[in-house]
Amino acid sequence: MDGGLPVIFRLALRASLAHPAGRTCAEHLTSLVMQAPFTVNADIGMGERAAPWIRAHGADVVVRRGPVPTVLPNPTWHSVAYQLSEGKALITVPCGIRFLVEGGESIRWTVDEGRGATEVDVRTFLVGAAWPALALQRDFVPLHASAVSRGGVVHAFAAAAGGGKSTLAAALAGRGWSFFADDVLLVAPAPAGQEILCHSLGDLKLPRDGLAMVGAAARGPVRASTAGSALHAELKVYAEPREWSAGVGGRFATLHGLEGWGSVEADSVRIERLTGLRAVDLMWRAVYNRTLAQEIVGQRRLCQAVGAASRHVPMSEFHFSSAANHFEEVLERLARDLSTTAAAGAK
Amino acid sequence: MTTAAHAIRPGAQAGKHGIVWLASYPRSGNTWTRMLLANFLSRSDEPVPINALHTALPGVIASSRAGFERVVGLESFDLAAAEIESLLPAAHRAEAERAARVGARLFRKVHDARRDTLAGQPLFPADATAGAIYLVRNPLDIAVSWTFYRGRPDCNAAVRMLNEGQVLQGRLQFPQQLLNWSNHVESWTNAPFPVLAVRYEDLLADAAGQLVAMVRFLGIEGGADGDRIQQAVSFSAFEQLQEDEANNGFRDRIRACRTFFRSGEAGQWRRHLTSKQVAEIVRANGRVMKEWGYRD
Repeated sequence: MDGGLPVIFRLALRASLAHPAGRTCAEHLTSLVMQAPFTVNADIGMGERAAPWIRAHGADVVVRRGPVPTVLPNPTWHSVAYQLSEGKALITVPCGIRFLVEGGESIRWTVDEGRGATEVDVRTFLVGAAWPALALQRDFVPLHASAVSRGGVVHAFAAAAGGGKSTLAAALAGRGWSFFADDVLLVAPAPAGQEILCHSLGDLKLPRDGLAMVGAAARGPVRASTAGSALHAELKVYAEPREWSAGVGGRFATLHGLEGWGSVEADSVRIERLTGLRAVDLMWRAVYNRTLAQEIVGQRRLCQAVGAASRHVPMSEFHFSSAANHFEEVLERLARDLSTTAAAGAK
Repeated sequence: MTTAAHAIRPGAQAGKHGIVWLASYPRSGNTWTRMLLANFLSRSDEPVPINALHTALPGVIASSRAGFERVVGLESFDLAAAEIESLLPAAHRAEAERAARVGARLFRKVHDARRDTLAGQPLFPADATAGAIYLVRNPLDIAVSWTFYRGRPDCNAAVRMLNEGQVLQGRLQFPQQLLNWSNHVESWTNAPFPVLAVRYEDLLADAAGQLVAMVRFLGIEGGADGDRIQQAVSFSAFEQLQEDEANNGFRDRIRACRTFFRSGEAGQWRRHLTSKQVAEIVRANGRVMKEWGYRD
């Protein structure tokens, strides 16, 4: 039935069909919510949400300032900002910040003198670029998704950049849900048949003009080195949602792909459940920095992980009007759908 | 006067590797042209749905945030505009190289003027480029089409855009710098890579002929297959696109716009522009308009 599909989708689809339905481990959820799946000792602040990950001693991962090369010898793969070689990932950011991510155990960072990068800039790219690379080295699959949670059950929203995932998640916070993750959601490796767990680290980032709409408070720009520049206006700001989730872990319950574009009935909201290949495709497209992920994890393993997650996590496409005057209607429909799917998942 | 699709340099042909830029000022037939090419390349017995255009013709709009992030691997909202611009030429090269490795070319819609970055690098590097198809349309008609597209009450904003240039803003895309109409046309038709210029009015008059010219410019086999050309033209007919939009919506339509495929006709400016607006556009763009046959 899948003979005409590209190899990567055949692998993922088979994985999605291979495992029996997951069992709910409700008794474990409370402890999972509070736990980070691995621990970090860092010489730089990693944000307000990092506390459960941080350990003063004996951490699994060490983040330190130190020498970082400008190139990796004999890279096995390279792209605009990344070079890979034998368990190492070198990340070069335009403002003179570089990270060397190694073996899933170490992130070394440096800042070129005279480029004006600050600790805020380092933190933004540490969490947004180096952290997902490290997670991949540890067999986690990072999704480009924001998420809310309730009682340790996590609902994620995937969309292209600017597609509204942070805004919708922030708006749901305080309306019966807590804000759980922004931009990067780490999906934990799971043995066959077990439920899928996910984790968050980063703070909430929002466009300035969206703060009032979702009731969030600005905490400061995501980049300090460009503050005051005329080119600064496009950047998001760190923000405080109305309610944070209590912990950084939970059961990955649903994934909604957001499609905010005009429909026949321009004001309507439409929800479409996805199964089979379409579910796999949504999850596949949601993988954060997918090309890098394929290179670090390997295409086959990534496909199998995506397929397995697709089997366990109900997925939908959420088509909605992105006009501000329909925002409440959109939120209400999304909230209702989350409640429905959460109730179904609990049975 | 230019009356038909023509290579800016006689005999010029797009390369086999790299990116084919499908460039135009907004509302100049870019989507229609992409539908023609998509239907030609698909070889299907069914029309390519307008909402499948993004997958039927490989390559997203050059200003796409998602496309940039996919290639660069950095969150675009964490980068200042100057930083993004500094990375874009390398991103285009990386995409072209990636496509070349699997023997493919990419087609990328562009509304930006061809220009250099703040650091003096070509935004659309020649070494990442197979060629460009540039769509030219009478700026007087663009003014009308843009006004309906943006849901504006009059054409004044469109006239300003055509005469002074504008930076298009959108959440899903990077700001697109248009320049005024004349400078936009000349930026692309003077490009240091193969360019085929196609007038919108000639597409209306003879879509099949223009499609053949595009297919030949691109070096794609099948240009001599009259049935295949005619099928692509009928599958991309304006009425077909309108019906598809009416039934299924169109993801490229902005909210202010009632229908993306509204009229498509040439000469509508005579009914919608005031004589003052016409004079202003001609004053700012008259020389280039004359070159392209839009003034006697």
